[in-house]
Amino acid sequence: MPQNEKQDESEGSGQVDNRDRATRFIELLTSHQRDLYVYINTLLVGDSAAVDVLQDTNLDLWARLENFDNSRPFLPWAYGFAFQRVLAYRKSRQRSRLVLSDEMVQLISDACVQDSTTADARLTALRTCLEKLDPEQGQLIRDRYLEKMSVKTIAARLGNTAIKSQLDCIGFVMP
Amino acid sequence: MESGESRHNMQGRLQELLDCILDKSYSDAQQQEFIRLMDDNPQWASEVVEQLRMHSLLEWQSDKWQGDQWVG
Repeated sequence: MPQNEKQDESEGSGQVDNRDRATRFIELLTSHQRDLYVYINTLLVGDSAAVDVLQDTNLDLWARLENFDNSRPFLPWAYGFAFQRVLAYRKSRQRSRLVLSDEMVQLISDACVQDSTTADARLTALRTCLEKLDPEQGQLIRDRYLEKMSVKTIAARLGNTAIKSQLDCIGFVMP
Repeated sequence: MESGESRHNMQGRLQELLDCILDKSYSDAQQQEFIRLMDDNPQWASEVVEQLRMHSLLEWQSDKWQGDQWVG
């Protein structure tokens, strides 16, 4: 086989490898969006910037595609980038607007990284949990998360402060 | 020594503050109180983390499944 054909074959194979690698990477990135969002939103204690921080993290991860070792778990690696983005966001905010200390952010991050339960597994458990709620409790969850009502609004609307503790109670019993 | 009732009250207060923070309706004083309670009681972190993760998951799902009947 002529030398240049060998080279073409080799380059072609390399391109396929790179394409496979990129495809696999996109699959991993896509399937772990929920995990990354939950991690970021937890560290930011529900700050509405969580989606923006997730997008920045995605860009960082994509830029480091070449550094990703396919033989190692994706999520702990990705959490490292998300953590740096969370720190950068915190730095950009006035310290007076942060609701966690630096030490607590580190502690919470460690707890999240060490817990290997994926968002998919949590979601399965959550579905089971939601099915067990009585209609009134199910309505509370719908009001809170589908209608995006605040706890105060729900309690005020129902004129029942016990609703608040009931909602808290539902929150705490979920796995 | 911290009594059981005092601990229970403090946890209740932490929960109240967390609700305010997640509702984005907190004062500077409440924010500082939340930070202090968390820093003084790292043993509660795992419970708060669990709640935050569940809250985040529900928020994510609500965006994805709006209009669906996922809560029955």
